[in-house]
Amino acid sequence: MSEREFDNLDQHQRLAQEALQGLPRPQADPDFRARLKAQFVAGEIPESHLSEPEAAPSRQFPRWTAWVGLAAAAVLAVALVGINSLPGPQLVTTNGVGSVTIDGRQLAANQPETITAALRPGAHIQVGEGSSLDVLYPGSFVMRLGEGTDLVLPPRPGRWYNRTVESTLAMGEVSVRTGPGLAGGSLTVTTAEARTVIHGTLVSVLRNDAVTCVCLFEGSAEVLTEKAALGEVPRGMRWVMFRDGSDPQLMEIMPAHQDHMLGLDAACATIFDKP
Amino acid sequence: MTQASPSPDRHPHPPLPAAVLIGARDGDPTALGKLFEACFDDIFGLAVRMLGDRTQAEDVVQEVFLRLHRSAATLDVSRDPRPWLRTLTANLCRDHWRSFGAKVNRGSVPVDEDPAQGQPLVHPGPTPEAETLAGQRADRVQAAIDQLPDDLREVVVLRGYQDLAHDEIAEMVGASPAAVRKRYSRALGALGELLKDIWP
Repeated sequence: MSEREFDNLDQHQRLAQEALQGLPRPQADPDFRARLKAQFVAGEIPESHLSEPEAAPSRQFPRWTAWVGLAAAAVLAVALVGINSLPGPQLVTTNGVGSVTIDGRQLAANQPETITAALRPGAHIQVGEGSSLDVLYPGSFVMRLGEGTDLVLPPRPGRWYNRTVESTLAMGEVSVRTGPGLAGGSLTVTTAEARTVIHGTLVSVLRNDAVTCVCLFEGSAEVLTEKAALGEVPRGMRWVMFRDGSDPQLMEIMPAHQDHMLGLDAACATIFDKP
Repeated sequence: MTQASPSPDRHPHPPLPAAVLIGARDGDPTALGKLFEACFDDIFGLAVRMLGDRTQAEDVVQEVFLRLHRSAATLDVSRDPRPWLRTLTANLCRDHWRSFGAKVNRGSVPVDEDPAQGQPLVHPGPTPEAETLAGQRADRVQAAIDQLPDDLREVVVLRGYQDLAHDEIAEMVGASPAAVRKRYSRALGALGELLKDIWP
């Protein structure tokens, strides 16, 4: 106890401190003391309600096993990512003698090998005048890109997760026929006016200078605009969203468009088993 | 049998010979016995003063030595284990205060009137009158300590009774030395208020 501390105390505090210092040291019951000492020396002190359970001795592993474990976990993670990804885009067919620009590289539409080599998930594709392109995501869907289409391909859909993929349509028309591999997932085609969420269907999304049009031949597709969720497109109908901001309109699919979509459906019959 | 030494020496801590610690670490019974003797009184006194109850203090002391024995094989023979044991004791006492049973029983069995012991804590002094007075005074002081809030009681026992330095207490209770000083000052004030009628 320092003098300074002592000097700072008032009378009551000082007396209290003296009382504390004058407390006798309690002496233990000799029997308790002797018993505890014997138990301590023998290592036989019983556990009480205060006791923590004795920790089980930890198994010691060599340090290298941690690195091997980490490496195995990394390999497993990479393998899982690889296994999860369904195949990427493959060229089914090209039509016309124009050009197709993929990621800025202009390619001849009648040279499927070069187009096949250039295709990749997320590729930016511009289909020239007089050409069209059918792109297959094996098992999941076929996308038919009409002439004048400017579109970014979706990424690879996942087998167990990342089942929702998105493609951006800047201009032109993309028709989609979904396959059994998309069950439980979806493909969203986004334009400036609308997002079309495609679950399992034969659908066409078209964008020109005036409108975005979503035509549903069969199945299920949901349309959302910036202002509202228009909901499911009725079978055989199309939602027309105007670029000038006019209210969307629900119309019947034009007969010529029906024929176009039936053509895609027929082409896909050899690719997917029809339901 | 319960006794109290009339003039407490709170620093009966000659350095523990390294041979004792090494022997205890290696499980030598003689060394373990010496280690026990070197630590027991200090730990028991602290537990009794913090808890105000001998039975509970015995439980705590038993637990402290159980943990010491479990840790003996990994003892750092270059360091005195007693500060660690005091911290362990204080922690166990704090756990006890927080337990439901302690809140229910608080103050029900004054330390120096424990019927199980059958006699007062304080050993008789030179004369019957003096010993009675000394015993009554110790009882009052302990009863006053027991009435303090937990945080004040802890500091007042560690500082005022055990005479530990503020820094050491601060480390034990997880507070700054300045906070410990303030707490101790408040504790002394509260204790002085509780005991004012016994001053001459």
